Amino acid sequence: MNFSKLIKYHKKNFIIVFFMIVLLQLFQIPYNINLINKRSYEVRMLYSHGKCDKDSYGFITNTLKEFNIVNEFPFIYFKNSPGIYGLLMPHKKKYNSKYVFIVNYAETENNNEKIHNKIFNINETNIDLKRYSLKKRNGNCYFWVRND
Amino acid sequence: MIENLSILLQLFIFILFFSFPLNIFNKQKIFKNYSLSISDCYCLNIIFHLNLLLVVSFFDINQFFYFYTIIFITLFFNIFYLKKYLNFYLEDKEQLINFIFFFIIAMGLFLNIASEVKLEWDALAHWIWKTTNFYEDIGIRNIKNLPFAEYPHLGPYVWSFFWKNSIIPYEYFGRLFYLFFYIVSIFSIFNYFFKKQYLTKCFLVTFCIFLTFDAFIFSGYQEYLLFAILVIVSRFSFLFIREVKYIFILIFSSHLLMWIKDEGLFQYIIFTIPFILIAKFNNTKKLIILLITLSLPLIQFLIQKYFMGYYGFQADIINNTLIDLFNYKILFPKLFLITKYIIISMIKYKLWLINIVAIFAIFIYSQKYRSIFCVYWIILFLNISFLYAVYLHTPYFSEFLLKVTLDRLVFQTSGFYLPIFLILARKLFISSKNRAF
Repeated sequence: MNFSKLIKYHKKNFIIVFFMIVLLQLFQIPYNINLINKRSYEVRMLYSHGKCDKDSYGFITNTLKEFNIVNEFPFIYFKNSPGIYGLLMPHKKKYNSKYVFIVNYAETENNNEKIHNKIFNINETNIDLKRYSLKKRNGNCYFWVRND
Repeated sequence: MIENLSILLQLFIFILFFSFPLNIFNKQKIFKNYSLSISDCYCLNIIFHLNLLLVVSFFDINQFFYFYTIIFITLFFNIFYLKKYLNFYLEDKEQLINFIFFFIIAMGLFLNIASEVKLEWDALAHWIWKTTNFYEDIGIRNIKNLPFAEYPHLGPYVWSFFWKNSIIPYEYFGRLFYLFFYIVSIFSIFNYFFKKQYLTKCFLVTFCIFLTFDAFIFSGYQEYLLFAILVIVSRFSFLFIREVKYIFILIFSSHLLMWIKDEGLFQYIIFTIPFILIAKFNNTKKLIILLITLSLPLIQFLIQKYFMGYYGFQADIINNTLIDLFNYKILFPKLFLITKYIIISMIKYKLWLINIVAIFAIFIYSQKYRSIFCVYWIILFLNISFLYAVYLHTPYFSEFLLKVTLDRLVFQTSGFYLPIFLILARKLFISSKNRAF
């Protein structure tokens, strides 16, 4: 059987196989398999929710690990984001105003805008940063601990 | 590689979980000679399990226990059908191709969601709160303390259920159920209209998925649950009106809408009552069914108000701004803006464009289908009116609100009108000799 007859005989099968290969490419299946292999879930979360931009997922989760804050829940000030509170399993933890995150806050030269002089309203509580010490900073993300 | 394999396994978990109680070998007990495909059985099983999960959610039953009970029952149940399933797929090449095709599409979309794990605004603002509430076994009564407590909880409950019972405990594994439901519903309706023409069906399903798949909405929004339920309602619409027992399938499918989103309550009424009114029963039966239909929102109110502790909508139904609608200087600009954003949304979600072309074509060229689809025209009118009503009524009316919310409202119901397009597609792609109807 020559090639043209073979194609004619198996025309439908060829179309099916060809269509499935097209589908693999259209849905980027090989690419996504490789991407999931190469980038762990945490890395993909960083890409999606930002390290110190967007929702600052990377800064917050790394800091919580670094300072071993497990059972308490910090106050987090988000700007232009609903925040990632929900992702951090907040229901069984106690909110503690001892720890404060200020993320995506663009400080300026203007003295009134200096972050140290600001009072933030977070979770209906006024947080006066004069009473806090800056423990960690990365770009526009800040982590403060109250001076007790 | 472990994550990729887990995603694959998650697909098989869905296939196993929803293979019970109805399958193509026992369907005749309920549906007699009515033709049902495998995807139809899966759709009805998903509806059945969603109803069960809704009940389970009120009793704070351990999600592990419930999951493994169902898996155990399903495994035991499927042992009896194992040989039949093997023969079914090995003897019928088209069914095997259908399954491979389903598998490729499902994996393609699953991997797409897994590669982009972002949760969008509403998901972060409130849906994930409800989801983690169930994930952490806090219980349904805590919902009233969470942001946007007025939103129903079924979507987040199902999300947390499959997240908790996934192989790797990543949040997006729960959301994969939304995808599974969406794909199965699309297959179900296409299998009905293209029973034998599997190649045409493959092309059209791919086309439909490209028109309707939006990764943004899969990032934690509940719209695809509404979309899939309405596709199923549409798929079985002409069965529902035949017998009383079938109309209960309609009611128990569509009442889920009001447990998924606030607007679902109105969609439940819009997409259910017209079918009851045109059903082929006597008036007494219709009246009883109507009373049952209208009692379900009342039951929801009682459960949410007195059991869960919170019932409400984002805006009061009667509010001070309603009086402004009598002022034409306020009314007409509002109407203009709403119309503008409905058109923009329909262009964004292109299935609507296809639907509109199909509706016009049927109206102009087919007297027969114009009368067959009469209930669809009524529902379309109510559906569009509902969009206007939502935004005319809200006291928070702004162009920004229309920009960020109306497109999703428009999208939710787009799948319902698929049969009109599919009838047209059948006429275009299949010669009259090969058409079953």
